[in-house]
Amino acid sequence: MAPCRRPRARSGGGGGLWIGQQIDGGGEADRDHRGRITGVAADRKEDGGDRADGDDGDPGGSGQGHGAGILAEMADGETSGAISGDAAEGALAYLTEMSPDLRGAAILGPEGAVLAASGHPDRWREDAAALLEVADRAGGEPVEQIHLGTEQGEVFALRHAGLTAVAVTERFALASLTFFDMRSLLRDLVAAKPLPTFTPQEGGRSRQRPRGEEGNGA
Amino acid sequence: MAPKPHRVLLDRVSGYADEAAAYMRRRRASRRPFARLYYKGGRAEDHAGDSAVDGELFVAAGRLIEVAGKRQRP
Repeated sequence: MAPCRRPRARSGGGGGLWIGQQIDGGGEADRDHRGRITGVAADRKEDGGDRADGDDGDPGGSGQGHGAGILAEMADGETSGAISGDAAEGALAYLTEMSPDLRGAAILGPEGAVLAASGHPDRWREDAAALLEVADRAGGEPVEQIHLGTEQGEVFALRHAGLTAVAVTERFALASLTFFDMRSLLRDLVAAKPLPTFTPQEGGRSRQRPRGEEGNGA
Repeated sequence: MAPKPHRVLLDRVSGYADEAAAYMRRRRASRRPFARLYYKGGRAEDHAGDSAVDGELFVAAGRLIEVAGKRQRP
């Protein structure tokens, strides 16, 4: 059984990709990403410095320092603004482009409403809600990630900052990378950073690359 | 001293049989359904058992797989 190969690009800084990031952007993308993450943490530290306010009393807001503390605070925060459907659609298109094993996916808002889906939104909403409800009941506390594998395929679900991403992939998809992509997706949606379309750099593997650029090296 | 020819043949056949058995064992293990739930703080639970909740998890997952349909190959 051959392992699934996933066309993807990695930035050197370990920060991963986000919507609209240039795949082969050199150091520019990394620098921008680090600044963005730092900015989020700084904002939260500024407006959430008073822990007694009550809106930051989750476990992640324990006053940890930078590094892991940044991620913990980001993961536990709730999205403050409404996520536009266009942004969610763009994010979903990006996820589909990045994951060749993906069969379908959906992004759900804080109330469980479908922001974007690759098929029937109503069915995605109902079935994702059913899965999350059962999963919450199974462990006695709200679940953060779900990974189920059956002979027909695999199901991934991830909650982040009030949003939920659900994805169905082929069997034997790389779980950690799928979760990584989904988490990046939701982070960018929360940060209102995504672009509505996937715009690869020259040399990327996207099928959307214009034909004229392919023969430039000759 | 060279082994007798029939022993070479037996060793080869039994070697292939061992390989096939290992392959089937791996295939059976990799095809077994599983459900893993991850919680805040890094706690994870395996829910591939036979309890009612585990069954509900797989039913819900099956519905999602049905909604997603087959992958559209380019």
